[in-house]
Amino acid sequence: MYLTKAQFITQNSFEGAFIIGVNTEMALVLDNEFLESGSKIILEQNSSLELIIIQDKNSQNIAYRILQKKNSRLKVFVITSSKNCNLQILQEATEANASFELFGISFNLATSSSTIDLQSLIKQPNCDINIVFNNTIAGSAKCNFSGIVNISKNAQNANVHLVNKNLLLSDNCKINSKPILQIFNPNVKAKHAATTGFLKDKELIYLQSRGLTKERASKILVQAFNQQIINKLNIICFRDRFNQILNQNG
Amino acid sequence: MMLNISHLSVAFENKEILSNLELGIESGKIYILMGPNGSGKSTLAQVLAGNPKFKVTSGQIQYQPHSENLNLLEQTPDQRSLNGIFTSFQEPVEIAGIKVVTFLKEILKNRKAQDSKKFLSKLKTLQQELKLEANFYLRDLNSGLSGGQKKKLELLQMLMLEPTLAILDEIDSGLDVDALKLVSKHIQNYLSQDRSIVIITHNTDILKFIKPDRILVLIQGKIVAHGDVKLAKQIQKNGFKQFID
Repeated sequence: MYLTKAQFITQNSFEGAFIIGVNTEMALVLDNEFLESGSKIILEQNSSLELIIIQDKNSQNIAYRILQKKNSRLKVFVITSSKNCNLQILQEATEANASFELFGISFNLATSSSTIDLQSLIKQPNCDINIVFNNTIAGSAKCNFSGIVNISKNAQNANVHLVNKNLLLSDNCKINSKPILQIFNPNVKAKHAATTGFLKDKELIYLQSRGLTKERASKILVQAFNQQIINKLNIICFRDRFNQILNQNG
Repeated sequence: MMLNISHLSVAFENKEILSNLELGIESGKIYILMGPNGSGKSTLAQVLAGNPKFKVTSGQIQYQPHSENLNLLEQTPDQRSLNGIFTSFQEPVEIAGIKVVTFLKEILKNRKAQDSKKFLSKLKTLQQELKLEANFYLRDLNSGLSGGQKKKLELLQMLMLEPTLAILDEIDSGLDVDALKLVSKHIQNYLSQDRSIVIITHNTDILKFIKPDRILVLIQGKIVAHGDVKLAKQIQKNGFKQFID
């Protein structure tokens, strides 16, 4: 079960923002129907939002700015397989003790050219940021991934984890990965990593030796690569939706 | 003869590993293939599995499961498996993101029809018999398992797939004495008139629990000796040095 946005979001006409009220917990699912590009989402104190973005039909640009106030919790799941996707999420922790998690999957197939731009700005103390984004790139597709976490001078005790994993399925595809930490306070924990590689031969031969064709083995390995992200979805019914997209694109 | 290998030479990264190898495997028998480290035992297992990293530079492998006669070198790895060859890996590959149960269902899908009730029942029986933890099938494939558990999972796959020819590469490594006894019992019981088993090892502990029909010694890519279980005792006493020029 998930709520529709009308049940839990109020639209502030002055700011053009969606506001998640104080002490409110909610889920917002954008399944090929998106908020207007450039929309602002504000999480008030002690609020919690699980935002699920699914894009597998059209390549509408997505650009959201999300502001988090004290003790707010934001979890974002993104899966995109549309051609030429442009996804931008700008998150700001404007008050202390905010937590932000983002788990993303993108498929870039055939001649697709996509841009994924994730930015997190931590302005206040004791914030936790965890970003894990997987890109699968095939054919002659291109993907530009940028993940930037800026820890400002007042953001002591920030705990930041930024990981970008890229799986290349052809010799002609391209990934440009930029995981960046900008740290202006010495009392923080922050780590970032990026990996890029092809399917592993030893994994392929292991699966083939059990009777799976090379094509089927490859598909299973692509699914396995992304499954760990899907398993983090708390709303079980959307795991099926994500798996459906995985099956279509793996 | 279930498997007939003749004049087989194999190279890995331009280095010859197997050299003009001759070997015949008969139905209904257990073979122990022994040899020191680097003698080519695992290479042979991988060649039989169809691993393209190992280049067959000459020779033939004829495989006769039942009444068919197949040129194994013309078959893809998956075709070999579907035709009844199973190779357990010395180092089973860890794949996070695939649950054991999902994997087993997938590899059984292309084979004889099995209803899910029977599948689960067999899986549960084997889990208990092999003393694997109750929910092991919900874990990711080989991920976070001990060496012994991985070997048990390899054996479990063999017992689920029911191959005609099983090549078990160091199935005995990483097992404690009780686990070795248990695994050996299952291997011995699996043998039947129309099945063959080749166990690759470099120590003789497994011979306490398995009765092999033939011991083969592979040194520098060639079979240099073969015989009955007395040969293994001789190796236990004198090592492999006696076979090296």
